Amino acid sequence: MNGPMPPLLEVQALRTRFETYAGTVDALDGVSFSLKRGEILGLVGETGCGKSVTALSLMRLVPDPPGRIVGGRVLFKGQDLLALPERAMGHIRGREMAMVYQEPMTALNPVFTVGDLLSEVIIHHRGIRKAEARGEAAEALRLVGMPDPVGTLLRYPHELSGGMCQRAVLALALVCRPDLLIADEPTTALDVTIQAQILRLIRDLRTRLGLGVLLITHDLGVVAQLCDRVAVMYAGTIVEYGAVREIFHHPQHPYTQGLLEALPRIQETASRLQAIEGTVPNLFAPPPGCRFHPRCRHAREICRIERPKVITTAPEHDVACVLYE
Amino acid sequence: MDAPTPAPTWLDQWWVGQAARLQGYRFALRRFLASPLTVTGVAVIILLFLVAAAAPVLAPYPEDAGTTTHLAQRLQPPSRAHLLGTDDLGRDILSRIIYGTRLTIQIGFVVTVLSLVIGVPIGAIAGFLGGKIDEALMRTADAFQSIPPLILALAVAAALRPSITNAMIAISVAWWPWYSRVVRGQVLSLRERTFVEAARCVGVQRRRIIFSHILPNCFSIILVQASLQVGNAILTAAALSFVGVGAQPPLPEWGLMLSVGRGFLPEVWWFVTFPGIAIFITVLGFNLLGDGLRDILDPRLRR
Repeated sequence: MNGPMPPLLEVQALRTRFETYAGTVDALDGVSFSLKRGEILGLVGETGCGKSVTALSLMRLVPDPPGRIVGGRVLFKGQDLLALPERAMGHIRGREMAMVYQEPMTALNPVFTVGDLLSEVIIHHRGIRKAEARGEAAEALRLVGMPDPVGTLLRYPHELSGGMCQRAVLALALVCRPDLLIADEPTTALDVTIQAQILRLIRDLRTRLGLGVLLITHDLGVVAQLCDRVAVMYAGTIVEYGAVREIFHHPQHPYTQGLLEALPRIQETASRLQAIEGTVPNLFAPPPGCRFHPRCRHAREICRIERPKVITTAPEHDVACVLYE
Repeated sequence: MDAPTPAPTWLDQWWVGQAARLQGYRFALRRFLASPLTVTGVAVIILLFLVAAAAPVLAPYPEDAGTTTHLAQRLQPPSRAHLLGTDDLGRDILSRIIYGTRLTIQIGFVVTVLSLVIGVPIGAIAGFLGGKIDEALMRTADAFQSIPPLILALAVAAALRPSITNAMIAISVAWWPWYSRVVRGQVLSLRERTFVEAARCVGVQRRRIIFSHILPNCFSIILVQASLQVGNAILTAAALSFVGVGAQPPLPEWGLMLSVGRGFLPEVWWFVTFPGIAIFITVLGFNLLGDGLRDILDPRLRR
């Protein structure tokens, strides 16, 4: 190896804007993070903070109109995806980066068998014959631990259970062996036991295939269990970013602290849970300065005026808050 | 002693899957049989096809479907020799009606396929792409729909040379917007479904998404619409023939027979009555089938 490996994915100051009749929304307002091969990065935040828009922006699948990526760079294996022509992007989607969805049942087209769906992707990206594609498809199902992979090829999505559907969706994402997997709340629609299975499977696949995984979730428990690093998102910005252990043990941003305090803990006797005061800001008119300041316990005058800079407070720990300047 | 059970092969699995699917078909069949009107419709249509196929055997005077004339026997009332009487050129009306089924089926089929071929892609493209393209395509469809289909078909058929082929083209031109509308509406809701985004996510191109991912999901709604319109197509074709811009003599087209027979009313009642009944039964059969299919395939519409 010569020199440090470049990260698999490096997102720099990504900005995505939605122009709607009601006004302009900066759904992503300068999002930066990076992801190495074989690493799982958790992206956490409340509903509506821009997690899914981040995923769509990376894939360049933001519905346009009304959405548009207005700034930043997405460096995937060193090349800027935002500068690529659509045709080239079509070759990257599915072959080099793939996505898994929240609701597996709706992510599979009801009129195709699982085998047809898988074969289509294989044939599209590799141009091999249908018979060979069948074998590859069964192999992909085996990879994701589908019971009876060969029989499942002939099943329609409605004949599968929720967990099996999510495995099929994973197989669909991984069939061309991508380097990056974006999982957008892959377990929210599943019950707890299946959730655990799917999460274990994702961790397993990461090790076996050397995948980089961007795991979008609002479940801090999942992050603690599964991720190597975590980015905490709030209202279209990343407020804290670093190694999971570091951030869970020494949360520094008031928002992260609030999130962790809001977690019920099994050791403690039942007391009222700490909630973060207020609600997510209206992004049509985001608060000036730090977007979190109206809800922040430590808000000062400067927070109302200036966007906080990102400060590295420890190795593997970045925070965007004036408290640490 | 128990022999080790062999591991299930893919063939066994396939059979299990087929059995499950068969069960599904059985439910559909039961729902179909539970609706006597649908069964009647299907029976009528099957009968129509059988008659069309066996026309040379069934028709007592096959040559009467063409240009032959027997002026000596013109305008005879129903009798043992001519069960439904004869027309103004002495041709056996029963034979002509029997041969007419072939023409009728052809008209229903060609018109439906032609308007599907025009209407469905337009609707799918408009619905999926949206924006200016949608606007342009749908306003065009509006323009066609703003004229009652029969009048529009009449105008188009009259503008082309009067013939049964041109009548079929004219009816299709008047009718594609109905398919476009139905398909567009369905595509509008389907394109927001996650599986469309999932398909884009794995790199499937737009054209393939429209035609092979979204359209198959519209199949049931298209089928219902089409089966309802076969009857309409037949009726309209008969109307065009009746006013003289459709089938031309000596074709044994039912509408044309009505048109000629009208001149001999009221004495020669059998000349118009029997072709009229044939049209009535055929159109009714297709409409019953269409309604039944809608009930079976689209349970949301059932009351």
